[in-house]
Amino acid sequence: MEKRKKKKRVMSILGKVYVVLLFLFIYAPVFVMIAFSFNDSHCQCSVVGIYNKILCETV
Amino acid sequence: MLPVILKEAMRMKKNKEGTVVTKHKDKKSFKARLSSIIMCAPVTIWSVLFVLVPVGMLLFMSFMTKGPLGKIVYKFTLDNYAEIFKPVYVTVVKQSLLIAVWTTVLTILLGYPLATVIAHVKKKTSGVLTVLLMLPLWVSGLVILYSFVVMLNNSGIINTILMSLGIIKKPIDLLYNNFAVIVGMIYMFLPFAVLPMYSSIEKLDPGLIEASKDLGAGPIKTFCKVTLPLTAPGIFAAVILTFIPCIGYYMVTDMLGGGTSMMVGNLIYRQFTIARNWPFGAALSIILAAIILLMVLIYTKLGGDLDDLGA
Repeated sequence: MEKRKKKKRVMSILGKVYVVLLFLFIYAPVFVMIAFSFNDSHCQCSVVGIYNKILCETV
Repeated sequence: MLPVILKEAMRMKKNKEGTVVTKHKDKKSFKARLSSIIMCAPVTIWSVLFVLVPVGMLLFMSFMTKGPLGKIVYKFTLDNYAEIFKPVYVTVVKQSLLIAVWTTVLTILLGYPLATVIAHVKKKTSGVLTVLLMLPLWVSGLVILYSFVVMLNNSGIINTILMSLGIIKKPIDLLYNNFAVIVGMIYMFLPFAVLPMYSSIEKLDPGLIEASKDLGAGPIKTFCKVTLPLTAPGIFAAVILTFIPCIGYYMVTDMLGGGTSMMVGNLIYRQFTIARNWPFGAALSIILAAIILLMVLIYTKLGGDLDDLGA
């Protein structure tokens, strides 16, 4: 009985992790789009402006 | 004599009333028919003008000949259909079928567990998850694809993270190949695949699963013998909703494939724009439409509901 409960709990945790991962995949492009909307560079990959300031300050 | 006259008068009255009633009924049914015709007229006119006529024109054009400078010569020919069987085009069809099959299989495999989770959580949470699933569709597909370009680039986010973690030393080619196309396609069609599967899983009677467990079947056997067959219409609807648009979708292939992979949709687009061979493009479109109709026919023959496809 306890084994079953444990299995059920593990399955529910796995399910939650899976849903979170899938939603991360779904929302990743949206987050990237939002993040790059504050970027000052014309290049797709280099980080300039507000992100550069944040990076410099943390370093 | 009098009773006879009375009887006759009564019969005539009855007849008169009868005719009056029938006339009234006829009038009513005519009115109802007229109102239903008036109600249906805009949709019918719209469908005829913007669906039937263009498809008819496409069908007509597919039998015409390509003239010089991209003009259409109105001369009947079957060459456009014969040209589809040339090795170059057969390769394109094969490649697009392969990409569509991979996309469909992976979308179903990824979407089914998600649909199961959404169907089994509380109603409020399932509503929130469904909205969250549909929300990215409000953003333009083009913008989303540009985000994928930023993420999958050689110097993009994924490669940068992997390199900074020391997992890879050189950037991996994630962009401009079939992998990128399939990832983009899965992204585009995942919500459409999850919804019909969710609807069929939600309709599933939990008592049947309980009964299967009570009879000694394990979770895998219960899934294979009970859950999967009963949710098959939803899965098939998801297959159709993913596979059909996937073949004709050219935006993802153009942006994430970088010209390395071509699908039927791209071929049709190029025939109408760059090659200016409208008759051949029309023939390709008709063949694509025929494949789609065939799939929908199979779906309905297997007992599928057209409502699940959004019909």
